[in-house]
Amino acid sequence: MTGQNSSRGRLHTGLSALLWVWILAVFAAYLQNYAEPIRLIFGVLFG
Amino acid sequence: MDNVFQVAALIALVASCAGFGAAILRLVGAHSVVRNGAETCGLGFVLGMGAFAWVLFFMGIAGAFSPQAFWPITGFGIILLAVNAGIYRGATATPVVATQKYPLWLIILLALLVVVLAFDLLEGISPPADADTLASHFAVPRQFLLAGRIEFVPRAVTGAIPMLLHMTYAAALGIGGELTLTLWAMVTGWAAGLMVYGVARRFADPAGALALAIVFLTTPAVLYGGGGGQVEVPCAAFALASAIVLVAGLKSGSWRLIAVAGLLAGFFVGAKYFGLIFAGAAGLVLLFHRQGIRFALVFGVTALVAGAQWYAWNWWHSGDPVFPSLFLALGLPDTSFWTADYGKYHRAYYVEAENPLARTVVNWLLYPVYATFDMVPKLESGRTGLGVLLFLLLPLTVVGAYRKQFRDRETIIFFALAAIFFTVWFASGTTQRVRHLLPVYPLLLIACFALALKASEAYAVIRPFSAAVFLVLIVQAGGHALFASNYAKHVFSNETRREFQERNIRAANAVFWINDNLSRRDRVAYTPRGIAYLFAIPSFMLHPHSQALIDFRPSLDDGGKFIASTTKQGINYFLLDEPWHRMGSENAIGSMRMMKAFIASGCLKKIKAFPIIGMSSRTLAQVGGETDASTIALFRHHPENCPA
Repeated sequence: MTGQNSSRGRLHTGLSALLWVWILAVFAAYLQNYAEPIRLIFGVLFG
Repeated sequence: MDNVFQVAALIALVASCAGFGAAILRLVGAHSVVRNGAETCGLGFVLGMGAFAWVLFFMGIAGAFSPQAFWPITGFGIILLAVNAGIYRGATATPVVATQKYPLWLIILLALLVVVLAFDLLEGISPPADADTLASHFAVPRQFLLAGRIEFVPRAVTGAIPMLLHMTYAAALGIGGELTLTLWAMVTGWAAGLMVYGVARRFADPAGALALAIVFLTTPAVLYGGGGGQVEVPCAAFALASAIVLVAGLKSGSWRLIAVAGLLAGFFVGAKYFGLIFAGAAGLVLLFHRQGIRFALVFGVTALVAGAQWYAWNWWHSGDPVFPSLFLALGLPDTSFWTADYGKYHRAYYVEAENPLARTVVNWLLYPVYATFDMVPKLESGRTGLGVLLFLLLPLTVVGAYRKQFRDRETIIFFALAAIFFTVWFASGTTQRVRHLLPVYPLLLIACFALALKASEAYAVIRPFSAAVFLVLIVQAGGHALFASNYAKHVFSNETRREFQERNIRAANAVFWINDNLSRRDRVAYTPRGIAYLFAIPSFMLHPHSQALIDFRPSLDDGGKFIASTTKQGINYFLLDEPWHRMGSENAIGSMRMMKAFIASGCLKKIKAFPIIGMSSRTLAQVGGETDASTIALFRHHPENCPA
């Protein structure tokens, strides 16, 4: 029983980690859309 | 004092639409199907807005299109609200999901909502500045108002289009003024946000539903069009309202509810050509019910009653109900305002400008990727896109869709409507700009969010789910702040309306000079379309690609024909962009050679040149974004020096 729970826990941790990776990777790729505005804003803020 | 009156006119207009909506809801008993206060208020307002605009069309063609005619109908709506207000009072009943799991998040989200609405308000109390809006959405209703009636405007894309929502713009401008109009545009955007919140409350707690509503309100395409007068956001409200009533109708088997769903879809049909696709998609979904044919018939008839008038209007004047899309297919004879030859030219230009992707199955499947990650610039998915939340939640949505107990009828129908709409839209060969998918975006957003939320709760991965929503809120709210800063600069300074528009609208300075120095006996033909709304004297949009009353195609070099058609339109001044009168070696095209010859012969004499600044983005121009300095010049027409 404990082994089963532990296996399920590892599966959950793995899936959760994969989800985090997906979210961060997709979000980073999406931010490329705004590379120009981000560059301009940083230019204004930090000279 | 004038501003107070204009805000009062806005309140009257909102109350009137709420009144019409409440009366219809009570009449058909549809208020019993809504599930919470936000849904009731949103549905009632949206339904009433469509009904109000529907009435105004018939007043417009009858020549009763003036504030004096608008006030009684507005007042009637307010009386209806007074009589039927109980529908809204009773709507604050216990919501379906009453748990408040994250009170702290709810407080933070409420604070964010206040900020978002404040940003919208800055735009709402600033003068209009969007180019499409100034070329068409506000300009044409103003033209109708000045004429005292609805006129057929024989111009593709920005003229002869369904104008149901434009009727409400005319009413706002007529009974109040420009401030009422811009605030009204803001309110119609908020109505869609309210609907999203209301429907999301069916499966989410207040914090979750509020987060989704803010995601929607700060979506780049909504920022771009929501408060500026574009019609996609109110169309989204029509589509969502129609979908929830349709689901209720299918569940209960009530033909009355199906009729209301048809009315709402018909209002979308009357507001935008793509409403036809939505109505078709809904009709198809209805056919899967055991009473499908009967329901589809009821739905179709009510949709036609609500939206077909604008197609009949186009057909009456041009023979083409979706002018000019069917002009060639129907083999219509040439007229003074459109010809088969010009139709072929317009179609070729349109495909070149609006259809960057070949209509293949691969592109159809990959369109969401192209449109999310800005891989095809002509889709305009950066500053006017649909955001990234759907992609971030994709794995959870797929897992949720796999679990049978998570798939309810709402979710399936919302998916079906969005998928059919997207497929037909993509296959039809119309514009591929992603913002035109906005009307069905809430359906997809709500369905995906519901499945992903349920999956994240079932598999205990609520943290990455919340993080995805949080990241989207942060980036979109940041974009909203930047977008609003242009308006804040106006509102929190002594900048006048004229100064604001000169700063934001290319060639506005030239129009203001013309308004000050020419008279109503003159008529100015102009090439930059985004100034149409600003003219206080008669004017004519000399568009090279969308009108044939005065043929101004780049290939044109028949001076005699050009002068004859301008004279027929009573034009005695021309406001021409620099490339149109200064022929460079790289721009040696027919119409420029023609204009150069006119200038050389004294047919056109320059009165005044104006320095102008063009910008691809008003928002980014504030922080050093790309601008283009050039000149525009006003020419006086001297027929005695022109070719015969």
